Amino acid sequence: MYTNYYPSSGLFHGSIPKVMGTQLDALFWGGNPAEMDELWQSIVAEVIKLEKILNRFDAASELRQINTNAMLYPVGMNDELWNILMDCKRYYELTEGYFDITLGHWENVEFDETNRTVFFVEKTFFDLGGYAKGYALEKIRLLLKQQAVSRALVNFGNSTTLALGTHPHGNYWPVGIDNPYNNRRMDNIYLCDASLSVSGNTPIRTAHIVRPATKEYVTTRKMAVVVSVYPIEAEALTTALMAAEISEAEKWLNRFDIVEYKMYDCKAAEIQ
Amino acid sequence: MDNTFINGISRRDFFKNIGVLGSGSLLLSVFPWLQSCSDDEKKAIVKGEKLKMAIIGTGSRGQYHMQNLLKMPHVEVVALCDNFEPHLKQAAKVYPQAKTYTDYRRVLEQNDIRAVLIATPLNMHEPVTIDALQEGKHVFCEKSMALTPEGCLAMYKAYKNSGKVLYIGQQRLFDPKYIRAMEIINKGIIGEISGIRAYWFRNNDWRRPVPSPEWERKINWRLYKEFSGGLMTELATHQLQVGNWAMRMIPESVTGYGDIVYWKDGREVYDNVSLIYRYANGVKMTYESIISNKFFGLEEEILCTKGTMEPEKGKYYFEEVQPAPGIMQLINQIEHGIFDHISFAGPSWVPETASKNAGYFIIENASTHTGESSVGFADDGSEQLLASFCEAAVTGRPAECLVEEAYYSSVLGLLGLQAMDEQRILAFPNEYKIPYLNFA
Repeated sequence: MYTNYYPSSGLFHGSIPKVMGTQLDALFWGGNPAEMDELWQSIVAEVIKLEKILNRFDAASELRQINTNAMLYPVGMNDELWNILMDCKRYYELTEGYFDITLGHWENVEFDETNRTVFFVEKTFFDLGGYAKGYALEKIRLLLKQQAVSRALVNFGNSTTLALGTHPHGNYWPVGIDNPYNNRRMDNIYLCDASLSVSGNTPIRTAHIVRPATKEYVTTRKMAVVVSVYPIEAEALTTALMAAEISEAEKWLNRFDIVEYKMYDCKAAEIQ
Repeated sequence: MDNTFINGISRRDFFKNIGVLGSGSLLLSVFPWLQSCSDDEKKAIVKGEKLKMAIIGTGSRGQYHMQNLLKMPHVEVVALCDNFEPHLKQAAKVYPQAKTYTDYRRVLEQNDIRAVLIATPLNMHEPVTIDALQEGKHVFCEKSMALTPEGCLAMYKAYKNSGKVLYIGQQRLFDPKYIRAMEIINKGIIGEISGIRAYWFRNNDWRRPVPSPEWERKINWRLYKEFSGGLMTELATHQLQVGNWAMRMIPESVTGYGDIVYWKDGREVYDNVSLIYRYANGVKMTYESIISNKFFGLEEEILCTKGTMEPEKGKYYFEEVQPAPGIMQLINQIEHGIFDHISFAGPSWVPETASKNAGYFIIENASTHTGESSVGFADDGSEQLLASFCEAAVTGRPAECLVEEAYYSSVLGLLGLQAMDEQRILAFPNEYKIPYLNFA
């Protein structure tokens, strides 16, 4: 962990080096340094707790227990994980299948809402890679609000950012988005009490999102951006946008209360 | 608004490069020698009478400074002085209109000369500087200050009594990457300093070609005790100053060993030194210089509780955490009142990239070097230092704290030399303490 307090600007900076496969940096203002450090410790505890539940690569995680055993018997879980899976089911339905934590195998999943268990009729696994960081940021947003923090910027692995209030020297948080293929600035997004999520392929990660209908990886050099008040919504919808063609996405995007969305053609470096 | 140094280097660019545009006052409170003159004064300097300057000592370092002076149109080099004719002739080709002298005292008699630049062998720094200050000249003298602590103190007293400007050639004080590095340390971004490991390694005999044997001591003066303290006065002083700059403290004691290990060629100064300087809070600065292996080059590794600074390489590192790209830049801007777009949003970071500790650049496009040259390097602060001196020589305002920084680094180098010569632990003598930092 890393923390530093800047007395001249009252800024607290905390960083977790490796969590949910990436890094989390939080900048916030409010209270004295000891109070801010206490708040930071509660953020760290929350994110680490969530990783222990949601990381499918961790043999001890609850999600891993489901992925390992749900084909053998209906697996129960704690309320938080159940509610997360129900929320993912809602996004699956509202996006007409483009947000899919089974990567194209949703038909194999059976939820028992009475007993709160899940069963896989065939080999399947849940991957919360397009949801967990947004969920963690939502929990962080609530922690910050509880402590009456009105100005903060929390960056989770660059792909999802929570912005409360404004930059201390401006009327919003300005965020530049670069084309990962040439590192040139593609756009600027202005955030104020909103979350930004970015999903896309990169020269290193050329394909990692599955198009559910065909079960093939999306290899197009494109990038999806969603701004929403809620970080979960921003993250879930960028993943869905990457999997869909824009004409398909337009059928269901109006079901969500998002601030804006954008698609970028990284090959041509132009906004579609 | 006129935002230029008078030699044409943009002050705005200078601070922008350090990453602190918009907060000059914050920076200047920590680094007061960077204070420049007012816009009106700058205009007056450019339009006013040229600053007539003499170069005393026209060897390699003197000629290096002359090249920088050529870029300053308000400076006129009117006199060149050296008692080694080949160097004087080389210098005269650069400034053919300047009068040439072999005795510095004749130079100081010239009333039109307002400033002198001293780049003689070390043993002459003290007499030339003191004589020049007493003659009412502003003085830029190469580091180290003097060959003995007594000499350093005498120079300091002459400076304080003269009311004139004195600059000592500690160019790192004007090197943008050092200024930013010190700000990073000062703000606690990489934590508290636990230790400093400074070193300068080369693999050469440190000799210059000699046309005939009678010139040996004159040309290779760095190798003989009557002229120089060797590695401690010619190299270590730069780095000891960096340690004190970071610590904002002067060490209270020193011990070490010095030997001639490899270059047993008749030289009198050590070619292999290893010392420990101890600060009052227990932090140690080790210093090593060996000139028969160059693998590690030069560095002042500043080891802190949350990270490590390597200013010579222009980089710093966090212990376990690399804040996401753009975040440190954003913090720097917030700290300096800047509102700008920073790119940090993008597709997910690949964990393998995040786990490498490649460090951060202290500033973008920092100029670095291997430390092999004995003359000087491009963009190492020397030009800004000299430009600042020329500005101060016109306004007549000494630079705050600059001489004090140089004084302590010079004296510490010499005390280290004494500790090695006498093979003992040497406490900083009270008689050499001048009011600055913890010795105030």
